Amino acid sequence: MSTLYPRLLPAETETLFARLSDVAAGAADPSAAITTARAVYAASGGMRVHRDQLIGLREEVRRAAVDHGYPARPGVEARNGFDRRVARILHASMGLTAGEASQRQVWAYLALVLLPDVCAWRFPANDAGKFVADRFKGTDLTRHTLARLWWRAQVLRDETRVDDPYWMLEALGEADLDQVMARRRSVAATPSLVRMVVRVTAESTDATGRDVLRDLLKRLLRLTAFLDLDWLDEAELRSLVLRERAVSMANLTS
Amino acid sequence: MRAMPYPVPTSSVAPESWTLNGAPVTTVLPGWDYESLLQFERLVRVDVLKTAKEAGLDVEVPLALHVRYWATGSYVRHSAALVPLVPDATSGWAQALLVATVDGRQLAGDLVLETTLVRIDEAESGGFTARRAGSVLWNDTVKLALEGSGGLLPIAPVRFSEQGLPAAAAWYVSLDGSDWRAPAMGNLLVLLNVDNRAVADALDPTDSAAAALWDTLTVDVVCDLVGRALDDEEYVPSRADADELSTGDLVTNLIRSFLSRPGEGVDEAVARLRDERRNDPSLVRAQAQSSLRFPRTSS
Repeated sequence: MSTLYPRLLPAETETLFARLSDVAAGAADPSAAITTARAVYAASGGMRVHRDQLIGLREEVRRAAVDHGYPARPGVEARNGFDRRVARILHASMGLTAGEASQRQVWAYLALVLLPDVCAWRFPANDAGKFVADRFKGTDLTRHTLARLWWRAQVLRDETRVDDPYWMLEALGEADLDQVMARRRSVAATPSLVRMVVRVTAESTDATGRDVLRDLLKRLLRLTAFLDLDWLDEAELRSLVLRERAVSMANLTS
Repeated sequence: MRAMPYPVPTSSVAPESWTLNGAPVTTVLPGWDYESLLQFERLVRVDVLKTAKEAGLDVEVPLALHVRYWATGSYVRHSAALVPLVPDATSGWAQALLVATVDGRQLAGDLVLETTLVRIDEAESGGFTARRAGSVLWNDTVKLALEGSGGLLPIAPVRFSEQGLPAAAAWYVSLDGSDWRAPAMGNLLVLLNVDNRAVADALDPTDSAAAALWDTLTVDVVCDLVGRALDDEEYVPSRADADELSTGDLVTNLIRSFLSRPGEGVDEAVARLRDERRNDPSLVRAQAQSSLRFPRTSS
């Protein structure tokens, strides 16, 4: 059963985003807004999240931010470390189904009501004082501060690894993971293919890793234009990815 | 079907329509939630010999019908059924009953069901033919609106007293109009006040007087959305993206459907409507009423 989260009303989203500049890093605890913001819930299909759960989530994510330097402006290492840890937190503790996690207004609520200070720290305003709307509003879930992390964990979760099903979140560098997950409607639309690409890449020891990965993704992107790969089992996917990777290696080293 | 880098058969697949719980599927899927398990069925017949011949494949090449689905909220695909084809020895035709179970927990936006005819083995070589496992030789898709799109207005019945909205109001159109290029889903929501007696009654599917209320709501929403767009210079009519409807696209469709004159392009319509709205805003509302035939009568 899904946990149902508040869906921030569109007009409220616009209002709160316009006020985001007032939320400086280190602003007061927004707990009061958790139940006063204008939001609705899905009519059925799950249990509404309790206020205590929302506060617990906020504390856990905020702690992750503090451990990575909040409120000081984060560098590359801090950002990557925060992302990896929060992806685990969000996916493991929120109790979301994929359907509920597809609701843009849920993520708007989380970024603009529950965690505006942390999200503003992770993706600060530019020199002109402007925040990027995609990072807060849920208009593009592949770019939203928190949604992109949940979906990354959703796609990369490895059920075969009981000891650490989220190991793939650390298997590749941030830039490489972005490369993989950005192709949302092609390669990244088949989670089993994505996981196999990450697994095979993580197993490799060659120094040309990133270039090979990019070439491999381009090859897979071309293949998914005319191949339906969603029925292949693990062994068949592995064989496909290894074969294409070998071609990428050969092309790059020739 | 898109152009493939190999020959594909023509007219060798005869699919029947999808059914859900025995009833034909339309373009809208109402009455589901995350707890639903939806079982779709269809019968598909394939002339396997014709398929192989026209695709340049050996008749022994194993083929199958595969059903996959995704929700446009996430675009993550799920395999729902794979049925290998066994052709009749005499006719060369194969028949497959496809049963696809769709998990409600995955759904948001629109549901897309795709059926593909695929090769399921891999050939070492094969020249200019479908030699790879998964090669698509035929496909079709059906798209079902789940919520807030395809003509479904996104609504949420709530108590206005709990939302800080006027307690006796009937409805409130909540819109984030700051970016007309943002997806409509999530950008627009109509709140219906269940504390308003007329609205609460109208939400009862058996209520015979509900039509008048919903007609009024429709005119209101059209005028509200279009009015806000006309007042905002950031709104520019654009070609709709095939995959995702933006808020601006939604407004453009409303203008095209209800407020354009015969032969008038949408850019001309927007320019004219902006002018009319500046000089006589009630005229735009009257035009919407006229196009929507409001109020509708039983005669």
